[in-house]
Parts: sequence; C-alpha cells; structure tokens
Amino acid sequence: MFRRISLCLTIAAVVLIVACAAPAPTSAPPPPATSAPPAVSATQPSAAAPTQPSTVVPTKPPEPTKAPTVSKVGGTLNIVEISDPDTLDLQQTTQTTSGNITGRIYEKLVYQDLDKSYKGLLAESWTVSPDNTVITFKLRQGVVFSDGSPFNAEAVKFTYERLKRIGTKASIYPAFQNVAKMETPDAYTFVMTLKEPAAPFLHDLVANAAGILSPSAVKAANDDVHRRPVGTGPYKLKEWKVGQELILERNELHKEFRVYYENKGASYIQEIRIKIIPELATQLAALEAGELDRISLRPQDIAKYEKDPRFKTYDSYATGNVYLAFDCAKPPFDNPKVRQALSYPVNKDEIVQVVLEGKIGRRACCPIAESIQGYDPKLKEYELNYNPAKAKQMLDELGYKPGPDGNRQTPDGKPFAPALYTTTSETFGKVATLLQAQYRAVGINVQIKPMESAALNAFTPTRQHDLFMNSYNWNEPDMFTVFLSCERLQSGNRAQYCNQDLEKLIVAGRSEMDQTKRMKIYFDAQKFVMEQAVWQPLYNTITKFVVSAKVKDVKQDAEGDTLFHDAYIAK
Amino acid sequence: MHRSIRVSATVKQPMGTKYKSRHWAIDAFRRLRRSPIAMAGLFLFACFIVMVIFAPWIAPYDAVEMRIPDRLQPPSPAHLFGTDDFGRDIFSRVVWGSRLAIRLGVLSVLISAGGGILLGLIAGYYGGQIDNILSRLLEIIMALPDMLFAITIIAILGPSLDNLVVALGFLNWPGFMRMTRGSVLSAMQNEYVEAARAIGVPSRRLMLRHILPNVAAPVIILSASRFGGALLAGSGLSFIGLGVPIPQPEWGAIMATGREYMASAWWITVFPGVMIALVVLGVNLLADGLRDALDPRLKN
Amino acid sequence: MARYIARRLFYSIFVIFGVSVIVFLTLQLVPGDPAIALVGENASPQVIAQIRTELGLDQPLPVQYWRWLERFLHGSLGKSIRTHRDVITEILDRLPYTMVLALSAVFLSTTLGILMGVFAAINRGRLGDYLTMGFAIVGLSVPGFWIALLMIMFFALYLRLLPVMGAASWQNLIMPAIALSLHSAAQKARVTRASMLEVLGQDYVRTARAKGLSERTTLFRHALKNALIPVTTMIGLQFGHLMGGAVIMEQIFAWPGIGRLALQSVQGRDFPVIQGTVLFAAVIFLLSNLVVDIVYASLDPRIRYS
Repeated sequence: MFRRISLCLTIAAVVLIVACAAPAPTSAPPPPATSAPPAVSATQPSAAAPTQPSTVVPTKPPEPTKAPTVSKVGGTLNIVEISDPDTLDLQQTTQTTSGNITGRIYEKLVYQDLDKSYKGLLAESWTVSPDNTVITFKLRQGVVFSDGSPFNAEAVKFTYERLKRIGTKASIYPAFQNVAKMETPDAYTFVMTLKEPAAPFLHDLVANAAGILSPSAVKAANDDVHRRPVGTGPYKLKEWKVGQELILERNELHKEFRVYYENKGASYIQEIRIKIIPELATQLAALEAGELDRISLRPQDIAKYEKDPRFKTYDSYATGNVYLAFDCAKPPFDNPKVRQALSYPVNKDEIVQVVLEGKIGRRACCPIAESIQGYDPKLKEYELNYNPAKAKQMLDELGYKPGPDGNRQTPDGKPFAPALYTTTSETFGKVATLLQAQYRAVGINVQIKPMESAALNAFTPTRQHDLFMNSYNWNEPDMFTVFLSCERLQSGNRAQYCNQDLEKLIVAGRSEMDQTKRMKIYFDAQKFVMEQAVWQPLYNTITKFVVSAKVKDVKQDAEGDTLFHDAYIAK
Repeated sequence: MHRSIRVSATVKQPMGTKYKSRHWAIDAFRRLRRSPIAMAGLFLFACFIVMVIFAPWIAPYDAVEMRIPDRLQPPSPAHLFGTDDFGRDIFSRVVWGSRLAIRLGVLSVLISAGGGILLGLIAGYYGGQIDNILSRLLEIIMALPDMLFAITIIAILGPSLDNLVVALGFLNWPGFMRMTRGSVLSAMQNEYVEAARAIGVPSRRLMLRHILPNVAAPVIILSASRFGGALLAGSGLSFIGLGVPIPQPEWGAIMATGREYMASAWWITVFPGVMIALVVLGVNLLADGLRDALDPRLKN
Repeated sequence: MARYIARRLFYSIFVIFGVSVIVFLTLQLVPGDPAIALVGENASPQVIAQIRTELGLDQPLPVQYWRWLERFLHGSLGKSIRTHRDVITEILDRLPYTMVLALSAVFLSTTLGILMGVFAAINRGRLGDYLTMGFAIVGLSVPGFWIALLMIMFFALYLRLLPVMGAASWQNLIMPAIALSLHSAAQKARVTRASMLEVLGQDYVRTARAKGLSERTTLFRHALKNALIPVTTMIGLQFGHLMGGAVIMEQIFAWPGIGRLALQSVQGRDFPVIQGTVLFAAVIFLLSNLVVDIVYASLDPRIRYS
C-alpha cells in the first residue's frame, strides 16, 4: 500500500512538473460570429514608397452585409512601452512614448490618409488664401471631449495659444512662431494667419503636439494636464500606475472621421493597458505568457513568430533614418574631404546584416528616408559607399597617417581618436560597436560615448562631439529645417552644419507650393548634403510588430504602424 | 561584526634586546601554508595572476576582433567559451578582461586603503577635535547610499574603468579609516608607545615605526576582502552600462552583451560570472586564511 | 535612556545635513543644464535665461543651497524635471515596492543565515560545518546579479515556472528576493557561527551546562541570544542599505522601486530627484541604525554611557 501511494505521488509530481513546463495553452480563437465582411487589412499601395505588407488577407468568402448580432465591444488590448511617458501634456514633450499614448487620447485638426494626402479630422475642410498665408478651417460640429465639453473654435484657439506660450519643448514650437494671429469669427470657424507661407504647415498640424485640448478641462485640472489629459480621441486615461502600466478606457462619446476606418463611432476594444517593460527579453516573455498582445520583435525572434499561428506580424517603416553626423563646426570635421574620408569606412550592409539581422532595417542612401515624400532613388549615385581602401588613401593624403601604434594621427602628430556620441539604446550600442570595428580596420580609434537621450540633445549645441549617431523622425521633406538648417543649430541640427547655399534651398522648399518644383528643390538639397558628406545615412528602421491573433481586424497606416480602431478582441 | 584584531608587533620586543624569535610575518606565512583553505585561495588567486600576466599567450584571439560568420557559436574546441553576437571569442575576452579586473581591484583598494589609513592614523593619533571632525565625516560618508552615489559620480566623470575605481575607492574609505583608527587607539595604549611619547619621540617616527606595523595585518585582511568587493561592485556597475566604455571586455560588461541572448546563447552570461566568482572566492579564501593565520597567534 | 536617544538623534540630524551638502555639491558637477532639461532646446535663449533665474541657478552656491534647505524644511524636495511631479510623490510611489523587496530579502537572509550558522556551530569540525561554511563563502563570492540572471534563465525562460519581470504578484518577488538575500545570508551565517562558537566557550554557558540544563535550553536561550547581537547590527545595515534601492537587481527584474528611479534620474539629469532619493536613502539608513542602537541600548545599559 505504501508503494502504491508513493507511486501515485510520483506520477502526480511528474504530471505537475510537465504541466508547469509546457507553454501556456492558448485557446484557439473561435470563428467570429456573423458580422459585416471583414475589412481588407492589407495596406493600400501608397504613391511615395511601396510598403511590403506581411499580413495575410483573410480568405473568407464575402458575406452579405448583416447587422452584427454579437457586440464587438469589450476586451482588453495589452501593449507595451519601454518606459513611463515623462508627461501626458502633449505640448511639453518630444518623447515618443508620450506621443504614442497621447495619440490615442487627443485628436488634431487634420490627418494623413493612407495615400499620404491630408484630410480633415476635427476640421471638416479648409481653404487657403491665394498668398498662402491665411488658412481658414471649417470645424466639425457636434464633437465633444471625453468629459462632455464641446469642441469648437474656442478650444482650438486656446490650444494653440497655450502651445505658443508654454510649449517650448514641443517639436512644432518653432513652426508655431510663424503664426501671426489666430481668430475665431464664429464658433466653428478657425482662421490662422501665418507670417510666411509654409508648405509643411499641414504636417505640423498632424504632429503629436498639435492635439486639441479642452479649455474647461485644462482649467478644471488647474493646468495639470500632465496627468489629467482630456481629448476627443477614442480613449481616455483611466489610471496611471507609475512604473507599471497606464490604463486607457474607451471614450463612448468618440466619433471617428478617418475615412480608412469602417467604425465611425467609439472603439470596440474596451480597455488598452500600456505596460511599462524596459527589457525586450522581458516583453517577449510577457507576450508568450499572454500578458501582452503586441510587441515589437528583436531580430532573432522574427523567424519564429512569423510562422506562429497564435500571432500575426506587421511591418512598420520609420519616417526617418538612423544617421551618422559629423560635427561640422569642429575642426577637422569642417573640412568636407575629411568627412568624406570618414564616410567611406562605413559598411551599411554589414550593419543591417549583423545588428538588424537583415530584418529590422534596410540600408539608407539619403537624408530623406524611403518612407517620406521627397525620397528619390536616383540620389543613390551620390551615396558614399563602403570603400575602406579609398578611405585609407584619402586619410593618408590629408595627412592622417598611422602612428607607431598603428592608429592614425592628426597631421600635427596627435592621436586621432574621434568621439562618437549616441544614445543608450541597446541597438545603437551595437551599431556603434560595429562602426568602431569598421573604423578600426582603417586605423581610426573611435571612442563610443553613450548618453541618455535628453542629455545628448542638450549636449550637441556645445559642439564638443565629433561624431553623432541617432535617428530622426519627421514625416515631411522639410526635415531639412529641423535637422540641417542654420536656424536650428541650438536644437535639432546635430551636425552643427550651417551653409548659406543649403539654407537658400531649405527656405525655398518651405514656401514652394507647387509639388513638382518642391520635390526638385529637395532633390537638390539632398544632393548637396550628400556631396558635402554632412551626414552618412545608415539605415531605415523597420519595426516588426507581432500581434496576438485574437485581436481581429488590425489595420495599418501609411507607414505600416498598427491601427486598432476597427479591431476587436475575439472572445 | 568580527572580533577586532589586535596586532602588536612590539609584544615580543623588550627594549634593548636583540630580536631573537622569527618575525611575525614569517610565522604567519607558515601557519598559512598549513591551512588548506588559504592554500586553495592562494591557488585560485595565483591562477588569476598567471592569466593576467600571460594573457597575450593564453588568449587565442584578440579581445575585440570580430568574426561575423562565427557569430553566436556555442562552446567548441575552436572557441572554448563560445562566441558572442559579433563573433568575438568569449574565452579571449574573458582572459583579456582579467587585466581590467586586477586593475579595478588593486587600484580601488589602494585608493581606499591609502586614504582610509591616512585619515585613520591622523584621527587616532591626534585625537580630540580632529578625531571628532574626521569621525563625523566618516559617518556622513557611510550614510551615503553607495550604489546611488557611485552612479552619480560616474555620471559626472563619464564611464571608464578609472572613474569606476575612483567612485568605489572613495566609498570604501570609512572601512579602512575606522579599522586603522581602532588599531591606532589600541596601539597607543601600549606602554611602550606611551613611554616613547613621554620621552619625546617625534610623532611621525612613532606613527611609522611603532603604530603602523600594528595596522599591517588587519589592513591586509581588509584589503583582500575589499578587492573582492570592488570586483563585484565594479562588474555590477559595468553590467548596467556605467563602467567601462564599449568595447572593453570587463567581465560584467561581457555579461551585459549577452543579455539579449540569455535564452539562445547562455555562454555569454555564464562564463564571465564564473570567472568573477572564482577570483573573488580565491581572494575571500585567502582573506579567511590570513585572518586565521594572523589572529590566534596573537591571542597568546 | 531618553538622553541617549536624544543624543543619537542630534547626531543623525547633523549627518543628514552633511549628506545633503555633499549631494548638493556633487550635483553641481554633473554636466548638463537643468534649465534646458526643463524647457527643452527649442526654447529661445531668453526663455532659458528666465527659467535659470526662476530656478535660482544664477545665484551663488551657498544661496542656492539655502533656498533648497528652506524648501526642504517646509517638507518639499522639489519637483521632478522629467515628470513635473513632486519628488516626494515619485519616491512614495516606489516606496512600497522597495520596502517589500527589502523586507523579504532581510527576512530570507536572516532566517537562512542564522539556520546555517547555528547548524555549522553545532556540527563544528564535521562535514556539516564544512559544507555549510563552504556554501557560505561561495555565496559571498558570486556576483548577485549573475545569480539573478542564472535564475531567470533557468526558472523563467527554461522551466517557465516564474515570471521574468515586473511586480505583478508574489511570484515576481521570489527571484529578486533570493538573489538579494544570498550575499547577506552568507555573511550572517559566518557571523552567527563565529559568535555562537565564541559564546559557547564562555564561562556562564559552562555553568548552565553544569547546572544540568538540557543542551537545547543552553543553546537557544543563552548562546543564541548573545550570538544574535552582531546579526542585529547586520540587519539594520542591510535594511538601511536595501531601502536605498537595489539598483542592479531592480534593473534586471524591472522591479519598480527606488533604485530604478534613481538610475533613471541620474541618466536623465533629473537633479531634484537624484538629490531626493539620495537623501531619502540616507535618512532611512540612519533611522534603521538608530533603531538598532536603541534596541541595544535598552538591552545593554553599558552602551548608553559610552
């Protein structure tokens, strides 16, 4: 009898261990109840850049339109960010995490459709004066904020005046200095007068910081919009557990005006939980455990999840490149020949293959990224391609010969050890390590100096760096103003490059309204920057999202980012 | 925490007689030899020193040389500890990293001991207000949260091995200072020293020739354990990115590069940690052996 | 007794001020301009200058310190530059997590350490002693963060028994608490063993034995109680130290405690938060030591008059 008991116990123990070790079983999602035919979730081919959708178009036979018999409303979508947002006051931050969250809470006057054209969101329509300085918006009526307060011209004026007053940290703050006056002739008309015509102005109105605030809510919160955001968007903030998660809940009062959404009312997904997990490995574990529904994948995990029936993968292309910039104000990098010589050792293909595993990035040729309007593959002939022999030759000619220890020295005999400043991101650390090895192969000893993002941004105007590496994000060809113009030497112009010829092109591009002429200007501007080797663009980041298959009807925007307004959680 | 160790080299030296018995250090070493624990520690530490000195011959590859086609290989005859995500040989990196480890350990102990002993001597010898002020200073430093402060110092000075050394060295002053002060105070109560003072022997001579030797043994023991402590703290800080710059193969930094690959390339995380553990174990065993060798002898 | 407490409190307050001065001075050396960190780089130079005046950054150092001190005495540690919340709120948000982790680690290490130490002392010279003390010295030597990583690799990634990260439930506490307690358990074991051996050899114990009290009573009533004195100091030190936030462990396990807050704020140049967390940790450390000392003083009157 004793033996039998111990046998049973042993079996029980074995069963327990096996059960715990087996991956958490996921129930196969039941086929959705009869509903309207599922919307095609492949992206529309866009005019500027071909995107490669990796979603599979569902192959169900088209069903006759029927009223949904089972409500799609409900469920929780668990997504993740690597840190808390620094604030939810969208006018006082440039942090991407913050923007991702406030983008669900606030809406702007306009939005970009899948073909990259601008359409009205909170604005029904608008007209532009013949001299391109007065924009008159006709606002939608009957829209309310999540607290019930009305959306009207007063709210828009209040928002943008606040932006001009205290939004110094917002990326579009400088652009708004161009606004001469704002008027509200009636409750649903908003008139903006610019000092100078600005072609990118619609893009500025789409930026994260351009979301419309509710004046009454801001006053009620005593201007503490940091933690009490109120917008017209599909979600409102329910709770924020610092360091752990933010909980957004569905805004029942929301009305949806984007044409690419079928759902014209409040969202289906009841709750979005944004968990804060700084470690990518941890995020993956949470995904496997079912605690997260969407993460972006590390390259080494992509192959596995593309084949996994529990998930679907989506590709999203960054609206910007990761680039290497030289401090053009600091000798010897003020000499274009030196910059060229230092551009040739860079092996972009190796970076993409080794660090990005060939999967989460594609090599970039030019300042304007492939996913942005203004990109032109013809510019590739000006690209400074990997050529270590040429680099060595140029360096020798310029007087940077190898010293006794093998490392190159400056013409006056001092060791040449340029410092490469970049952020503390893991990926950038690896790219920098590889760049260091590539430079070492031509005899240059590069020092890597990682700095936290905000500290790095404050550091570059001091012109102490030699090389700089980061990514930019600006979905407009006028990224030139933000990152390469003389007026931004104190902020976005990390290369500290100021050239009057380029400046003329930049200003012209800003005010040129004719599309063809405008694109020609940016072609010339990019050619100039590439010939002067101000930047060495490295790669365009591809984010591979993996989403749990139980989230249905996920759409993608023009860049491939996942959209959830038509999505619902299968029960 | 531990019984305070009273070392007095003058016990066997009545004034005027010739020094007949063996020097306490030789005697201690004999006792050390008999302890298997200490010998084991010495062996480990000796292996470590061999690795440091003969690194260029032991390491088959360069510490930063990348062999991209051989990325993420598990341990094999060609790569004893496997390779990392850039194809660098982990075994070579670990071997070269021993030079960083010894620099980290030795320099930070030197800074802690140097500063701490000096302050402890002054505080103990001169006593009074000076002692008071220095002791308060010691308390203030001890109240500083060490990790937070080290992080702040590195944020100021920038990540580098030497800055790490400075941060860790500074934070360990109190330990040495306190111990030195205690030894000094007890040594000063010794009749011989009181007499010498009364006669008028200059203080510097007193400090150097009669008080300092008292301090020698506890300092050695504390140094051994602080060496291990500096190695552990330093590799921890390097692990979170606040130590050596890329791509130096400090053991903690190597482990950081394996963070992403814990599930797929366990060797990057495991082997450097084993090395740290072995070296610190060696020093700790040695410290224990020294403590036993130096202590019971003096209790007679 | 009251005078002893008063004296110790006075010293502690003095030490706190000393810490605050050191921290304040150190932060002056951190590169980075708090004004730009506050308003961002797009702000015009006039705005930045205005903010600098508002923050008082253009005043001489002693004045700046005095202003900070004034605010501190009114109960405020300033506002975080990153999140615009009160520093105190940021700390209090993380406090429960650090507290739970610290208490767990203290509890685990003390229990394990004392058990091991007593076991080794009883079995002195025999296999049990060597094994236990061997385990202890290894525990002292291995890097805690390495053990943490190994545990994650084994229990979370391979066996999938425990969660990898976060602070969602009690299962999340297991690995960080164990990893944190290892080093201290080893120290306590060694100290307990040494103290017990020392006490067991002393006269009054021999007297108790001679009186015929059982071995057990001897051990647990007399020897152990005295042997625990040094362990108590260690508990105080350990708790105080852990409440400063176990920076590395919290980073590895994504545990939302004060250590992580400190690391983020140092990397982000969030000066008020750095100052606040360091001060907070120092206060807790001193309080913790104070409590331990008071406990001693009440047990051993000799200490009060030293």
